[in-house]
Amino acid sequence: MPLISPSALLQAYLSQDPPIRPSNRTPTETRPIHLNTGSLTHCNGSSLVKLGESTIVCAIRAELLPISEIAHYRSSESARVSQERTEEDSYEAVTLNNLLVPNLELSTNCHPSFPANVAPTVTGQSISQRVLSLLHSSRFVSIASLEIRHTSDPAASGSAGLDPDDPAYVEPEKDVLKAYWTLYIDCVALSYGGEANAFDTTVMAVIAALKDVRIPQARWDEDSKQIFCSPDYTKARTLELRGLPCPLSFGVFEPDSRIKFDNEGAEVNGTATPSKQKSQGATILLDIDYFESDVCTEKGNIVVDWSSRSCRILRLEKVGGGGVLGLEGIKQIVDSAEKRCQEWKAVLDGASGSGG
Amino acid sequence: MNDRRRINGPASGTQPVVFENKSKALGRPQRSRKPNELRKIFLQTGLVPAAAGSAYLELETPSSTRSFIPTTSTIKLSCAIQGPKPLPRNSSFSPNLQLSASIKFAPFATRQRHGYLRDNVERDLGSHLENALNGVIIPDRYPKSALDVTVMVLEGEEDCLWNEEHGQERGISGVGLMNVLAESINVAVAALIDAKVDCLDLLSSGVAARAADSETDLLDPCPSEHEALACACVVGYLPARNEVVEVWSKMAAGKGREQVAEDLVDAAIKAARGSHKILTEVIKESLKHSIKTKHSANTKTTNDVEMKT
Repeated sequence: MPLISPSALLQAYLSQDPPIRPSNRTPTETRPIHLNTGSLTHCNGSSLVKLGESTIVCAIRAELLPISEIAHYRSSESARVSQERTEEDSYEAVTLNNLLVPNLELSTNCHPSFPANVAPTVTGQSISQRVLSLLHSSRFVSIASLEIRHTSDPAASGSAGLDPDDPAYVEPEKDVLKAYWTLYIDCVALSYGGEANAFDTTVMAVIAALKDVRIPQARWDEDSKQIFCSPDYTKARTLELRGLPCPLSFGVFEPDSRIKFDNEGAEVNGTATPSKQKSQGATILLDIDYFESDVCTEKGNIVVDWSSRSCRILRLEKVGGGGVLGLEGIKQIVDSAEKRCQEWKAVLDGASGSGG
Repeated sequence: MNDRRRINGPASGTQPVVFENKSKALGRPQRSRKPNELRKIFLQTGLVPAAAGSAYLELETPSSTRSFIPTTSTIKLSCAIQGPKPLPRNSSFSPNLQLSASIKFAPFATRQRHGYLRDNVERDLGSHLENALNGVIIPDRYPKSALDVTVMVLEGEEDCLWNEEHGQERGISGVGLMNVLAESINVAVAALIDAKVDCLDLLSSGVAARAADSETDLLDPCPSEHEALACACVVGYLPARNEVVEVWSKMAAGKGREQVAEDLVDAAIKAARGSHKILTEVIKESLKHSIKTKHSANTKTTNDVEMKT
């Protein structure tokens, strides 16, 4: 009985004319994105993304971190007026205090390769860390949305008509930082379709959920030294988000040169046309699934950020050596990622228009 | 607690949000269903391609606008079955199937953020689920094999309104968890049938309760609709054999407890029969669907490739 190895099977598919993948797609064809937002009750924002074989649910819970709880906090930083501070200085607070906390849970219900009821596997930890690094490097969530500031009312504190030398005088506070919002971004995988695909789906779910977040209006109470929030949903605000990251996974399949396929070329003038050279070279596959990610020697993810003027690369990572993928290939992938951005933006706008 | 394997929040910990102006909050929702009417269930099988069997269950959402202090929530569960798979080589021979069932709450499933580490509530519910499923699976058909059942709770039900966090003094607590257990049993059974595991019967589960100072049995109670519940009970029931495989009941003290207990178990069995009807419908539909796809796969042109081996 002949044995068929997975790489030989993929090579047979790609040697067809035109080349096709086992999932019946062309090498550069991506799968549609299914998005649903705002269906979970106990959180500030939620989303569900289904891309190929991966389904990820992401929910964001906002909690408070009072300044008084932060060790080594220097209040002189906040005393500086907003215009003097640069965005880079203040963004440091997000990384130092861990204000964004993404986590992906890959457990046995999504794929049999994950054991049950144990600590996260290397894959899970790796994807969570990459999502965190992407959020920090892209500065997707602006620091201003996460701050709770307070300006004291002199009339309320009773210092309205008092002299500064009077012992009952209380220094009025202007635009002082009192607390930060911490966003717990918890993702749960309902099904798993390979690490590259799961990373794509997780990034999309996190972005859609962040767009869906509603933060309640918060105020600092002088008397009890505590933050109170208003349950009024009409006073809720969204987060200030910067740009629109869009991920795309890719893989490079290098055929085994020992396996030769008979060319299907027609006979011209009695001589067979030479076999299609392209099918014997490496093929770039976009949006790879579980089967392809096992077989491809080089695979990775690219995340681009698309603004109205240009498309820039936020993150590009590749595993596996071999030196087959060169600059030409990367450029091809970036162009496809740009097209994916349009599709992703349309899906996001569609979901936010109809969702609650 | 610093979990080394996950990304942690701020070192000093964070505080949950405190809402003010509680008097402006929405009032308690009223139960609009009849006492013997269950909430609508949405149940679908076969959503996880990598698992041997899978199912997703959702209870009817009351159509309310989004709010920071929601008065009711639904139950959303996903179940996946891995197996029956062979036991490790060095384990001792066992003529029966080794079942391990677990329930996992997602961090966003409850009103207060639930951590990732397994706690006693999850262990307790998991052992109840395992108890129920052990009563229905035929174990001697699968010697030296293991079966993993995992239920992931995406949204659970709370016991009281958001502004009643001190609990209800008069009645019992934990009815929300009983509802979660009942629906976990239903979704696990749907996934078992999807995985084509041999079972004695179609196990189904239901909850019944009595409000304080009332004699009517309420099927499928929603805890936030009542001020206080005096007693509640969840059963796992095999309709064709008329057997009960799992009972869990809670009762506040009172006179005539034995009679109340019997009546309550009977009421819960009625609720289980209601869920049973829905389970049969869902399974018939999924079988029809799988037969249709198999039939169309045989007739339509498949993209075969020529392989030189």
